Amino acid sequence: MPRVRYILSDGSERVVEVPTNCSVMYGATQNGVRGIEGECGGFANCATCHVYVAEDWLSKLDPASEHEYEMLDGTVSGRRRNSRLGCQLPVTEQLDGITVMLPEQQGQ
Amino acid sequence: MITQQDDIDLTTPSYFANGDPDALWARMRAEDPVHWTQGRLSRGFWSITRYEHAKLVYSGDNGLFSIQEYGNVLPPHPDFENPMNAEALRLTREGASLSSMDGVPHAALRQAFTQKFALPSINKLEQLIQTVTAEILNEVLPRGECDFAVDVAAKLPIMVIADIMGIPREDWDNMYLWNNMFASPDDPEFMVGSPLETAQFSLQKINGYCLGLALERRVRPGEDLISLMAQAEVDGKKLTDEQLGYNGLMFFAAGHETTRNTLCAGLHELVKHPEEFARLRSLRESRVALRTAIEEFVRWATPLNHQMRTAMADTRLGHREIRQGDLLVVWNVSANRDEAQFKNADTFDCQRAPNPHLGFGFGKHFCLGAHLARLEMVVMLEHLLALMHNIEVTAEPERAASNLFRGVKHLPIRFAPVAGVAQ
Repeated sequence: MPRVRYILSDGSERVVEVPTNCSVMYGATQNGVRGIEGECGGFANCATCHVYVAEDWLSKLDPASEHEYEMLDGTVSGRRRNSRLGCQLPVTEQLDGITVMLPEQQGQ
Repeated sequence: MITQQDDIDLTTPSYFANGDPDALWARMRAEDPVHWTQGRLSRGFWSITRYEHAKLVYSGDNGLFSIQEYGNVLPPHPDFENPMNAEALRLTREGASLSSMDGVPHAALRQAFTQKFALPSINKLEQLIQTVTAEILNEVLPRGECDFAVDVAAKLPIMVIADIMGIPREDWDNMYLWNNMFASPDDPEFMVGSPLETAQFSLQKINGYCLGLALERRVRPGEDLISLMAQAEVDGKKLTDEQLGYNGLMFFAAGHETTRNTLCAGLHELVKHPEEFARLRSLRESRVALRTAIEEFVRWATPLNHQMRTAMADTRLGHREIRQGDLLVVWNVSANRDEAQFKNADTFDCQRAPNPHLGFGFGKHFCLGAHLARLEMVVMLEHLLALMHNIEVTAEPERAASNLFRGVKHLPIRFAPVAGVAQ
């Protein structure tokens, strides 16, 4: 199973195996990784699964849809060039080892 | 065994005021989780009571399962079943408001509003919400008693959304009354004729009012939600008159009973647990603690009893064959009490975390106003904890006679006001 490396805002790390094609958000919420909420269940409707993707992985991702792009303006922690919604990132074998940084805040 | 009387009960609004739907749903979860329900309406439907199946249905929104086909709520009465008679149903089937649309048009229209309801925008309303909360409480604090539902809990979401929509103050009382008539047309307190007549009357009033404001603001736009709605486009076209009226209703109504009912249910339960009240009081400056508590308020209250969908293709759910065209009714309250998902599901636990309840729905139609509702309720709770001591409910509240809205119409309380005023 491909793995995702989550770097939390306090500097700690979790590496988690995620079933192929399940999302980065799913990997976090299923494994109790703190720092991602995903309140709407993974439908790009709440912007609480915001992640910062490590630079060397960014170009390997499919580009954000127009909807995701818009939703990224709705994140509580500042939008950066490497911001994505975790629910829109299916984890494939090609993304094995992908590293994402979790923002300090997702909700209020 | 789930009986014919059980089926009839689920389609009879007064059962929800006088009966024990929680016990019925518990039996259904255990005995027949995907249960064909032939109640007093002309069409039967599948009752979904388990959390896992509820999520499956919502995950299929705008695809396998449709809202627009036959609407997202059960008709409260057989009179409401025929679209020729029932204006609200006709408008739903035409996708007149965001909450009843499917597919690409739904996604496109929702996108017009997402920034307005996203966290950065909502967080900017902190001061407004603080001010409204203080205004509401300053009126009741000196009395040492009030009807919490009417005097406090209902006012908060209405005043905030009315401000966001830019509705003039002098019109707030009318909007509130019409909205109550529309939401509970069966309820003797609000009826002006038959239930159908009551609903039609209030629908015309609210729609007409919102349409009027929207047309003005299409020409002279402001920064408010109605102006945003007036400018919104789907597929290059602005919203029709019907869509303007019905979306206006949706925005006004969507957060009204729901937020009111959640605050009432949460407070009512909280005052039964003085040690918990004291714990939260000591933590009232912790937004994390209050957020967690409010999340449990929502699960506990589950302000919408159900949501309905139509299957657009044959499928299976819980060993049942669902046919294309079948109606499915997801009983959210039942899903939120499902022991298979929530440990000690029947316990009110303000420290419950995670709390993946379905009180705000799930998936593509996940509540657009969830962040707003939470902030309103957190701020209100913060104030209540600071300013009201020894809260007691002085009369057992009447539950609303509705199979859609779950809650109480009145919640009489008395309390010892803490010296000072709300700020």
